[in-house]
Amino acid sequence: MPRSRKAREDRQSQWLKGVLDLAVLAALSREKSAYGYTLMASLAESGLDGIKGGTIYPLLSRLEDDGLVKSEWVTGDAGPPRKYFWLTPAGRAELAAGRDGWRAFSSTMTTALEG
Amino acid sequence: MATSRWEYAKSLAEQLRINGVAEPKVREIVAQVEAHTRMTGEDPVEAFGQPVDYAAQWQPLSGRHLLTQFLLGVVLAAGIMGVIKAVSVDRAWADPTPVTFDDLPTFGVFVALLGVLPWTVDLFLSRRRASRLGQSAPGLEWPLRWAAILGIGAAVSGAVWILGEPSDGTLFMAPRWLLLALGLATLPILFLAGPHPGMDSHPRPPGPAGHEPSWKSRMRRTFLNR
Repeated sequence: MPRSRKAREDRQSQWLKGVLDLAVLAALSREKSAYGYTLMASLAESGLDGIKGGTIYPLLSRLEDDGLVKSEWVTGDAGPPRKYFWLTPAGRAELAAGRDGWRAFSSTMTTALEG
Repeated sequence: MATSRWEYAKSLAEQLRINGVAEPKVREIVAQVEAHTRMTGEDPVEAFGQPVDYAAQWQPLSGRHLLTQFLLGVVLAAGIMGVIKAVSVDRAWADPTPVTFDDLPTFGVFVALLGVLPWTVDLFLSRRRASRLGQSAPGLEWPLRWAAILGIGAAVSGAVWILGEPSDGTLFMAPRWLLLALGLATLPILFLAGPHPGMDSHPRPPGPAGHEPSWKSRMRRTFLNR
């Protein structure tokens, strides 16, 4: 892989690391309640495909520790039990603040990059 | 090479336990991996990375946890020695019982078995297994185990030789009942000490919060690694 292309991908990966928690909160806001797989599908629909389970589940756990999401194991008639997640009021507030912050940041960066 | 979901789950559970993750959380993490891979059909290593790396994302092994587990092994070794000494001597319970220089090698063996080997060689081998699932088989384990046992034997012998034997061979005296009592008092460490490398039993599915394994189950896991 050419070095410049790899550098671009690394940069995008770094950007995503900084805002993936907001993207997950937003996906949960859209889905109302979701388990890991449906959450990843929702992220993929919004263009964030290729995110691995090994990234999503620890992140959901951290969001839960921070009180931004809640979860519950649900055992269905068929298949393994699934852990469903949904936003708490604190999570909705964090998402709203994150949206405002992102708009301001992207506006600043657009000005910085495009003059 | 595809990875068996079952093998991955066992290996991940072992790594999480080694790192000090509580058993209810281990059950949750493993259940999530199994549910996810069953639904997507993905290879667990492809989706989550090697068990050793994924476990470290949740909680890396800290030096403090490692030292605590080692010291608990040492205390347990001392307790077992106390019980053995107390029940093997032919004295009245109140009589002072000498703990002698000759007891040191046996103590060293217990320390090696309960404290050193699990958190050095077993830890290394476990990490090695859990960092190459789905890849070529790791090398043989028995040469390393034997080398470690011989090395520890040499270290214990060297330490005993360097310390030198006291003139009458006695390290300290204590009433027989006290040795037994102190020894028995260390037995709860079997429950306090966390799981150690090699405990790769598959965790139960997540259940209601606070539903912990029975004492029978914990004893079985402690002694039989299953």
